[in-house]
Amino acid sequence: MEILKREQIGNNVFFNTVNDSRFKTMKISVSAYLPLLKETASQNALLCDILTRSCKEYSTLSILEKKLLSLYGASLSSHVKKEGDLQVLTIAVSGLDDKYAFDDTKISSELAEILCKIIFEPNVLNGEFTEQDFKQSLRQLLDTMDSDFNEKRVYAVSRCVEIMNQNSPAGIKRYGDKESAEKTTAKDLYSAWQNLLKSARFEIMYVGDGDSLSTLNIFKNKFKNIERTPQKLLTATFKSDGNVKEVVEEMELSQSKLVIGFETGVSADDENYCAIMLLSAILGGTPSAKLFTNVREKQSLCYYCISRYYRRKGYIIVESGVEGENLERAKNSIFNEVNELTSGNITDFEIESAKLAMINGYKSITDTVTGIETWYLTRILDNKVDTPEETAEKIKTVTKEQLLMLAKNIKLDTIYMLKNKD
Amino acid sequence: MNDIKEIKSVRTGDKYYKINHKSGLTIYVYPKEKYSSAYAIFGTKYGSINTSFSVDGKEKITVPDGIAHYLEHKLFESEDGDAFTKYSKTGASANAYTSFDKTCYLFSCSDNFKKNLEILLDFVQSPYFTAETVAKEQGIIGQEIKMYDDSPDWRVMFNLLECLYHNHPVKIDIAGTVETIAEITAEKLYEVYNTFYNLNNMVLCVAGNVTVDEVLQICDKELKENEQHKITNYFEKEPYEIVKPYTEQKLTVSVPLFNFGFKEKAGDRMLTAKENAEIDILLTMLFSPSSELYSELLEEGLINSSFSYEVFEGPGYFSILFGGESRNPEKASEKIKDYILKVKSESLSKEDFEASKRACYGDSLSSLNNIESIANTLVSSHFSGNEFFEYTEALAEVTFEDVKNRLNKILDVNNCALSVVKGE
Repeated sequence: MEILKREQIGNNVFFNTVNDSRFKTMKISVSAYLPLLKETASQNALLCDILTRSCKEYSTLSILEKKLLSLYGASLSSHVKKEGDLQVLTIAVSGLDDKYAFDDTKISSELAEILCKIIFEPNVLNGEFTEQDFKQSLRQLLDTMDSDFNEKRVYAVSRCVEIMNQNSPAGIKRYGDKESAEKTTAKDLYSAWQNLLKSARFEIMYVGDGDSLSTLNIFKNKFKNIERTPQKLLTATFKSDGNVKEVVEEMELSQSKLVIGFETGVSADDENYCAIMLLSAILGGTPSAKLFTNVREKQSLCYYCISRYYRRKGYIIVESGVEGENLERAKNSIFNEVNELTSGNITDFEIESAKLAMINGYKSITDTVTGIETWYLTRILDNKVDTPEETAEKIKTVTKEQLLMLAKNIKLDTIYMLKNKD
Repeated sequence: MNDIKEIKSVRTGDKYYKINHKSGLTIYVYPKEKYSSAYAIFGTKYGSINTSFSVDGKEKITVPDGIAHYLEHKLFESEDGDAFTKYSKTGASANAYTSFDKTCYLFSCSDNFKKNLEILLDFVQSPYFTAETVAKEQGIIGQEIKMYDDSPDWRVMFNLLECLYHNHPVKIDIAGTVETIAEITAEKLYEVYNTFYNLNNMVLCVAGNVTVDEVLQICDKELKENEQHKITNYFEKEPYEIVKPYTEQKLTVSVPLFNFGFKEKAGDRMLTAKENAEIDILLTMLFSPSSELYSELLEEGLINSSFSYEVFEGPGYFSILFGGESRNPEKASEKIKDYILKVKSESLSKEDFEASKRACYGDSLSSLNNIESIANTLVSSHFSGNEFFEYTEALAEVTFEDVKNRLNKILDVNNCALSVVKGE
């Protein structure tokens, strides 16, 4: 596999290529990075969805989908995610590599053109999106917001994140809130679209074996005609306000959820970044981690008990699902393991096995198109973008001293419990 | 001697090796050049539905619901320690799963492949169950069951299966219930283990940066020859008709979910590659986002982008399922039924057929990118008696006539049921 090639094609517009001949498919994605703000979050989320419903040339979803079907079942997708204090809108196309078409269809260049049309020539008339598309996008966004509540594991973690980040953009949901979504009009989305083209930072990513240069040129020409005034993108490392927040909510459930958030003080651009990731893995990232071995295997309290490190903000979130009557026991048991960690009780075996597991994971990432794409997109804003191999090498060099020093700084911030009603 | 056969796809040039190992195990090796990792999966044709069986014509044995899944958890522990600890010294990422008709143990790794394969083959062949280790798992699996009790997606599907199936154990939750797993003992675990974890009833599939030689080196060392036994699985006779057309459950959800299923005639064999290809093309024509129905359902606000469909098939069961979120599932399901009646009485579009055929072909090639999906599909193809590449070849052969004929055999609007999960 070749590594990432990166070229600036406009003011804060970058074209990234990973040429790889191993895959039978290719993927092109366009990601727009914007500040995550309460006022604009749901507008942007609606925009991301409405753009993929139609465009000037393919004026309805059905026409657009028929076109994709004829291109050997190519797919067009959109998603919205949160990266620290930023909102990221991604629209992607993927499909079969040209050499597998049994006629002379140029799948990849057709897909590149469709993607361009969707972003630069949307189905707008008199300064607004069509009523039909707008209604669909709004209805579906409201459904998606409700759907996040349906899955209680997802919901409980999102509540903890919200409580931890009450006064920071990172506490805003990636889709914003219902109230502002409902207030949005088709006209607002037109302004949001213009604002997006003018002020977002764009990262275009091409993974595959095809002609990436012609795709690069298509996008370069499109951006040439736009007057760009990119916004500053700032994201701050999470800092606890010093008060431990404990929130209990009740619901009709079979299983209660326990989510605990910790400050680490270390985020993606910090020199100790790899060490803190390793520390989180030692706590609860693998089957030989402290949480799995003790809370699950020794005490049989739960089916899952894991910790996850959020690289952009630099916090660690521990989550588990337990019997309502065992909530206190599980909480104490988790704290016990965290205390072991912060007081420096870490064995060489724990360090080595977590290192091996992480290195193994990084080396496998380049074996899928999506793995490659996701890896680079989540790191593209880093001061230096490492390859998976480089990160694996850095993990190898983390020392026990480094871990002990960082472990001391881990601070409890929030305990969130979603308790089943008796 | 091991019998090694090379199997090549005419269309893509991809190839894999099928080995009838002297131990009785069938092994598939699918080398992927320039990949950095390997994925191995070791599975037995034994899942949650195999609760009643006999060996070599002896007496019929019935075991508690959820025992296959319980066994999967317990097999990770051997007398000399648990498999996770062994893998923690190699870095492999290991896991296992139990489905309706199989139980599989797997790992993926970028280094130490041979050592990892050795661990896999060793622990799956070394059961160690005691009263104490069995008891320890009750709490863990109990919480796994409760987690699924709160999962609307899971509940809505099993509620539907209860509407479709009178007797077939596919309607029973894979993990069983807190009550049924309480009946599981070390003796019962040994009984099912000794029956179903016979190498003649199992398969090993490996894909990635590996060679046949590497795999066989470890297999020759680790696999002990197994005597073949005749396993008979008993399923009570299942009538064609459904049980009831509607069911509803209240859960804490804010957008209702539905599963809508058509019960089909399950023969005494699984669908062939050609039959699968016909059905996939047909379903793409009728229900994919490019279809007339999909647009209508969206227009009327009856579905959202979570809408999906699948062919749900295994030993003795076969149905076609639709699912998604909807504010009005009853109306959505009525529209699906009306549409099926309409397409059955009118004719299908040849143009849609051609485009859908291409799309299915595109999908089937895409799945060859990913070593996990390759190895997993090799397992299911093996257990259903099909060869992996047959499906892609069959897609090319399917004619418009085949698809029209297929439509007349499936999707009986008088034999379907709707399951809904909504908020209080």
